[in-house]
Amino acid sequence: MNLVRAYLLCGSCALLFTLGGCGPKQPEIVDVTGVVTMNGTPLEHIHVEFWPLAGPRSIGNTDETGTFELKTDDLKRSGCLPGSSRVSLIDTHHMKDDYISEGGDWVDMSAGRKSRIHSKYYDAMKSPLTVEVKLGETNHFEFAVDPRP
Amino acid sequence: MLAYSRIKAAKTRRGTGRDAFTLIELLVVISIIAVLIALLLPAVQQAREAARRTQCRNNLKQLGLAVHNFESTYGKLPYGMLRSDGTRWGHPAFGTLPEQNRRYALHFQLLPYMDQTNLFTWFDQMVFSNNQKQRNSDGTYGTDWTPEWFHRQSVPGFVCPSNTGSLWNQSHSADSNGRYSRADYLACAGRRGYPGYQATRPSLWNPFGPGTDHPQATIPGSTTSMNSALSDGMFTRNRQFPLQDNTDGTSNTILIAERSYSDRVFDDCGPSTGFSTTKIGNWGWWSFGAEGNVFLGTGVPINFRIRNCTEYLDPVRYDDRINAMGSLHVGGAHVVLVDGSVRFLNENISSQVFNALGTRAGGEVIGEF
Repeated sequence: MNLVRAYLLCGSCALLFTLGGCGPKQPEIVDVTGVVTMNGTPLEHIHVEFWPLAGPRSIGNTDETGTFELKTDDLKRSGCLPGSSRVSLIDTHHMKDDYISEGGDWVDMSAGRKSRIHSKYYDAMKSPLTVEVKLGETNHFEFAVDPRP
Repeated sequence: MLAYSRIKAAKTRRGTGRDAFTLIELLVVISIIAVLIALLLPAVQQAREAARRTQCRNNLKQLGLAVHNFESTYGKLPYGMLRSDGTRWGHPAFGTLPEQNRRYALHFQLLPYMDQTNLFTWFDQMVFSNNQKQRNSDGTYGTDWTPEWFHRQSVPGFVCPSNTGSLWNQSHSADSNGRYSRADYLACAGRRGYPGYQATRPSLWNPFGPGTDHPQATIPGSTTSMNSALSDGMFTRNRQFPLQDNTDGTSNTILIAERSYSDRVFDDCGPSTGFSTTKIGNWGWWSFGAEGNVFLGTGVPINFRIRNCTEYLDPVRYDDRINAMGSLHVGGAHVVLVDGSVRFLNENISSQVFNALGTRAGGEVIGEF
């Protein structure tokens, strides 16, 4: 019977060893918040993207106070990878979420509405906004953006 | 004698001897076998996936070579996609009626360089709508969508064995479901292939987007114009680039990449009627298509997916999904660079480096990737 117990013990140990150590190690990210304003007024419906040099981007959307909080792209974790980051801002206020009409046809519901902010912020790689996200510090950024010319 | 040996055998079975298993021993043996199977099965599955992955890499390599053979013949890369939209673009003999528009994708142009010349010559360039009809042996065309038509022909070289699902397009709408053959390797159009950020989805037909002041470019041979600012890769609509336009260097630019068609959230969110009835399997056809069927972009992380139906209705996130490269291989996706080499890109690649890989002449300095 001792032999049987030894078998069982060995078996469960082997199982534990196999299962332990599973799961990838997540890279460390830090909380990032910020405010987007134009001429002193906070802007709602701005899609914010931080493009870090270190890895995948983080995203956020501004609320009615112009405040955003970054999340990873899978929306599972709050924050952004530390290090230098390029920032792109996309105005979504002219892209209403009702752009699919009732019949399901693609009707241009945004006709007549225009982006409020300057187009130079759309392209992350050419955007004038670059920031340094720091590990172990409060990361709060304020972007005062130019209006559409 | 016979009776005696019977009695002896019965005694032995009763269990004084050690020539039978006890229940415990049996259970232990079974459990050990179970543990061994549990350990081995994933390994076997991984070996099978490794084989599929090798096949997938090879397909990409063949596509890269086909593009280079095309380039040797014409001195230019193929069109990312050709769509004439009601003009006689390309040749005065081509008609201007909607069903006579010339439309084809990158893959179609590569057929002769992939031992698919017969399929290539089947395509009717003069009357586009003939390609959705049965073709009779005498060269005439029959009824629409029956029984087999050009767009439905599946080409093994365009399909990654790791990708699951139907080989034909998947739509919630029964009318358009299963009509077009799927392509798993799509052209890298730069940072955005499917309408730019500022274009809403309806603006596929007006792609420079309403109310934006972004640079616009007129597409030759087309009645629409396309936002070219982010479509800065080796492939675009209605244009061919010679290799010397790739000033970033052929080893620093993506030519063709993979797309993953496994996305349950996306598939479950689409409405059942109307034009936007798409499952993710409705994007990506080798014979022809619009931008979203043919192009991918590097402005979106590898393996990007939407997480809920709210995001399906968010133009930015929806466009992101259509643009995303991805695969069912663990942790990234394969790409073939312009120099013809196949690379596996980690999904955690630097967003800035990944972007630089998409552009043909962005002027970025790229380190190791």
